[in-house]
Amino acid sequence: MASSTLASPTTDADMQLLKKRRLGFVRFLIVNKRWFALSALIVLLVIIAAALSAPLWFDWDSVTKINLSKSLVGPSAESWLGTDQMGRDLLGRVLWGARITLTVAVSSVAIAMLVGVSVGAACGYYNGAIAGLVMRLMDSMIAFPRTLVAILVITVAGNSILSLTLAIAISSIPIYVRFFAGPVMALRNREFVLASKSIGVGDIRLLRVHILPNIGSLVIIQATVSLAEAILIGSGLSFLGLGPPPPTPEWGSMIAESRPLLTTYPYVLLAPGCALVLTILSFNIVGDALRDFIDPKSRNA
Amino acid sequence: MLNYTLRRLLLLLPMLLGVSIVVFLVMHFIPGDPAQLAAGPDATAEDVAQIRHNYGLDQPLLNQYIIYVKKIASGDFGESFQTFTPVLEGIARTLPATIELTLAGMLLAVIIGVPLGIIAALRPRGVLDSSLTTFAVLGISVPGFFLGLILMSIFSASLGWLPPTGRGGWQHLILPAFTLGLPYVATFSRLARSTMMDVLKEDYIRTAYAKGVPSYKVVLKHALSNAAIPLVTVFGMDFGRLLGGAVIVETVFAWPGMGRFLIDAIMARDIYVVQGTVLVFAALVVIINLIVDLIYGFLDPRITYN
Repeated sequence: MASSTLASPTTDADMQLLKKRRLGFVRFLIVNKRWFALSALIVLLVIIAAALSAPLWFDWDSVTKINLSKSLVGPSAESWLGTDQMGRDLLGRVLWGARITLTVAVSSVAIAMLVGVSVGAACGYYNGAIAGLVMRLMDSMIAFPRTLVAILVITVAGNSILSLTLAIAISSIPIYVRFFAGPVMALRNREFVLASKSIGVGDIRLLRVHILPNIGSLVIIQATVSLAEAILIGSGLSFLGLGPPPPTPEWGSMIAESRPLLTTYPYVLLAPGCALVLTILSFNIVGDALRDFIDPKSRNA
Repeated sequence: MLNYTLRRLLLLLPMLLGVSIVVFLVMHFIPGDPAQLAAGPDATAEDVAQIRHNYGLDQPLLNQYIIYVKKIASGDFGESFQTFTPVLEGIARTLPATIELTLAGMLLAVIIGVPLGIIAALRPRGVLDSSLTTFAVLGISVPGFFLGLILMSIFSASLGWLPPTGRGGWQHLILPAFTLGLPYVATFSRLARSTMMDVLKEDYIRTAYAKGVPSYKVVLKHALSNAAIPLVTVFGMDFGRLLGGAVIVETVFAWPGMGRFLIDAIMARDIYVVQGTVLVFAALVVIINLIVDLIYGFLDPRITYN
């Protein structure tokens, strides 16, 4: 479904369009009065800054060490969001949670992209019997619930940040392989590729110089939307108790742990929950805007 | 048609076999010795060896797989290490709850999403259309477990209208089904909108209007029946994702379904339960997709199966 909503820039008219739009993404948002997307972009930058700077404000001990004497103290000047049931600073845990969430999301998407793009490009480019077999395998894997694939990986690899990352990555590889095989297959028969081939350019160089740069924009769009989905799935797995073990401040497991406080101290649950929704929402909105920026034809699709 | 149905049914076999190989290998690589787990912490080495022999765990991998497939083919999914009851019994107990939840979630998504999408398509760029776009992004951005907890705190804890957890009458079903279905309300409304907008541009729609057919009839009869095919396709594709979501929603609402059964088994490293439930989940997805393929033929007589 995703591949049909995203047209790859393969005709000459598209190339013209691509050349014309040399304004930056931020200017594109301002010119088109996409204030909603612009604010999402700002929120996203704030979240990334918070994730990067978390160790500056709170050290690891203060967000993981249990101190029951300070349990569930309301917001104060000393700790802005108050403390959780274990007496740890809630703001600190939310900030460190951003760091963990973004690390897991970015590295899982990077791993999945690396494998997905190379396998997908190879399948689209060679398009022989083996490629057909790989594609059928990917088709049957896509039919399988993604959450279930990730759960199986964690069952084997154990509960840790690394295995959570691998679980998300592995469960999304089939989607990327399918997604990127199509555009590569279309590019393979374009004149400039055939021309290079006819003067004896090798397969590897052809893929690297002529084909991969042409699917670069697709990779960027897909990556942004995938980050949102990676966070969604990762937090869900953590909520189920399959993420990094406590006391690691992961948003999903923080929500699961503070569940008994839902009616008495809702802010303990709302803080990580709102951070989670805000992050996913921002990635989705920025991803949508990025799609319009890179591929204007798809705007009304 | 009959021929096609039979061929598709035969295709089920290699697919299920493939899934069983994957699940079998995954279970094999799980750290920890299943025989030790089954024997309990204070078993002697002889006990463990005996259990390993009883379960066939001392045989070569290929033989183990053949034994496992033979057993499954005869309906024997093994026994739970925790309760010593047959896994199939546990699946039979929890499967209806999962099916009830997923079907209710899907139904809710279709009943709410499709009409919203149709109305939006009739008034493009209207108030409903633009709020639908915003709602769609929100729908795919709120994790089910967070939404579920929020709904629970509003409708159960504060207002006391609906029971917070468990399975029972229709009141128990509302919150979990809504939590599960909400993201798909967004999917279906967006899809219904875009396919309806395409269909409404067709010549036969203009002809119908020109003939004087009342507009509700044009929309519901001429347009909707032609817009239904992409909707059914997405229904089939999203069913697997919905099942994955059900695992989480079942945990939130303590819904006694197969997802909860699976997660509990993973926590306890109850291998045969994990194996059995995952196989049944996979079979469900495959069967639903088969049904969707067959529905195409009824929806659109132009589709032939050759």
